[in-house]
Amino acid sequence: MGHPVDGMLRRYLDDDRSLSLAHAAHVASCEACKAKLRTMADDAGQIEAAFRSALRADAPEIQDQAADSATAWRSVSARLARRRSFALSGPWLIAATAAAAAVCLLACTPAGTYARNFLTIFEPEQFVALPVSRSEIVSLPDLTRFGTMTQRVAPQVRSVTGPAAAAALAGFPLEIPTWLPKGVPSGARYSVTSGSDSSFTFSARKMWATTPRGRPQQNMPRTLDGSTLELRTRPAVIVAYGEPIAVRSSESPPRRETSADASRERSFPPLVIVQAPVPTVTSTGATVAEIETYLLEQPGVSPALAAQIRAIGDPTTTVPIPVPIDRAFGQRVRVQGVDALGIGDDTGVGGIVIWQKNGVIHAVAGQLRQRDILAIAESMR
Amino acid sequence: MAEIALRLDSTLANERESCAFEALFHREYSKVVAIARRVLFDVHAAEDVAQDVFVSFHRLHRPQAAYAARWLHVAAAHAALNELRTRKRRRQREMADAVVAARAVTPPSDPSAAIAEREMRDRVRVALTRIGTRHATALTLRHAGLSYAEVGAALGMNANQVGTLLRRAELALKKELEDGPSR
Repeated sequence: MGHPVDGMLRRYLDDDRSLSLAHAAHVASCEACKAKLRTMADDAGQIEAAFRSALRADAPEIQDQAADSATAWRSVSARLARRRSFALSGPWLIAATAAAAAVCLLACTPAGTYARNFLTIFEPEQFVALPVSRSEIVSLPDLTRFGTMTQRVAPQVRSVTGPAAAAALAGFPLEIPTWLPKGVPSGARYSVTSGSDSSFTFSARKMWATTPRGRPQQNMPRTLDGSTLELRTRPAVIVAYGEPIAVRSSESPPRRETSADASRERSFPPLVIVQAPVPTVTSTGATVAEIETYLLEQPGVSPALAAQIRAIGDPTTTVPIPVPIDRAFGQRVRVQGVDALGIGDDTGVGGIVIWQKNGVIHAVAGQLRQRDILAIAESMR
Repeated sequence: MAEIALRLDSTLANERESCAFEALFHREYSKVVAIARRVLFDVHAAEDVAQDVFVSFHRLHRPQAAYAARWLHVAAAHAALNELRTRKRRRQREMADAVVAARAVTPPSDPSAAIAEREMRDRVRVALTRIGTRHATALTLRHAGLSYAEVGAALGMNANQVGTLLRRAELALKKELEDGPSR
């Protein structure tokens, strides 16, 4: 009988019936195992003492069992009753998310770094989570007030027969997962979106015209007024596994379902993989410092959010992804030897991992456990 | 007649789900608070987090879901860790701590011990945010009183794997506590 592994020994500390009789007999007679157990007990005791001490600093007279679920239930049921039922696709959320994304994009894009050359190249190398509360998202200013967005070339989606056709049409080598978890069918549908070309031109005149009377508003710097940012994306490949299944909107109440509510459900395949070359951003004038300073000082951008964005490392290579703090959790993970951002957990509700490698942004998303999503990402060749 | 029957059926289904959610709430609330409290070490903030977690669950899931309890447990740990990481809320909590401390009617019998405990609380809070979410979640679930089986169910692993994760988490937390805030 060999030594039990550390996990078994650690469990044995808390439950002396967890080992088989043979293992227990081994541990009783093995000096190495006993020494390991003593070390583990010492470490566990120190952590236990730290937790106890920290709890005493809180409110030692309040026991866990005393949590008043009746009072808490009244509070929660009142919140649920008050809650507005709006769908994820509601215009307010699209606008807020777009504004958040645009603020982040503009604030963290090196627009203007090479302003004298009238050309800026933006190349995201890594993604980081930007925890935001719902109130912070909702209160963000509407970016369209600060200028005009123009889409010269809109992306078109085209279905193709398979990976070779997708790669040929998109113009870059496609990576396909070599492993899929149980429950995800191996058959996939491939589609390619064409590139897009859009621009945003800052306009002080439009900003003042759309500012309600009496509302405080930062003046737009002269260097920003009239500056244009141009965003060009190249063809991207979308690979969808399995048939779309209904997903409840995260805002619509799942329990009050009626036939009308059913229409609020959105359909997503169990697994979707997107690969896209990094976009190109050019600027005709404004510097990144000016854009960041100006947008982050706008009313509605909370000081905490602004500080978080400013605290992000190199803005020329790091893209912040807003993550609602009450719904999801983002953390840095490693995929294929590079830093990646993982959002989700191991409950299987859903998650996404996103990274950039060799000039291509990869995103793997699905209604799967985070570790399965990571394993799929790691298996892509 | 068919419409009335459909409406009645829908009403009954809603009522059943309401009852199921309320039962889930009363069954799991104290455990969810206990988990959040092992991260925040502030029972009132932990109750706020717990209630947010239940509201989020209600938005997204059916109360009869087999994964309901484990979802709530993991979400409580994650939400509490997020709470710690949100600087704005942290400042508010520290102000609230100061208010609570100022309101204390009975001074601590041993002021130096009370100071040491507050320092340890702050160190544990910081250390939990540094050791990685999975490690912090395993530790808080276990110290909140969840069994190995419950922790395993929440994290998608078997009981021996929980032992391994717990051991690594304890070593990581111990190192953070020893290294202190100077890092």
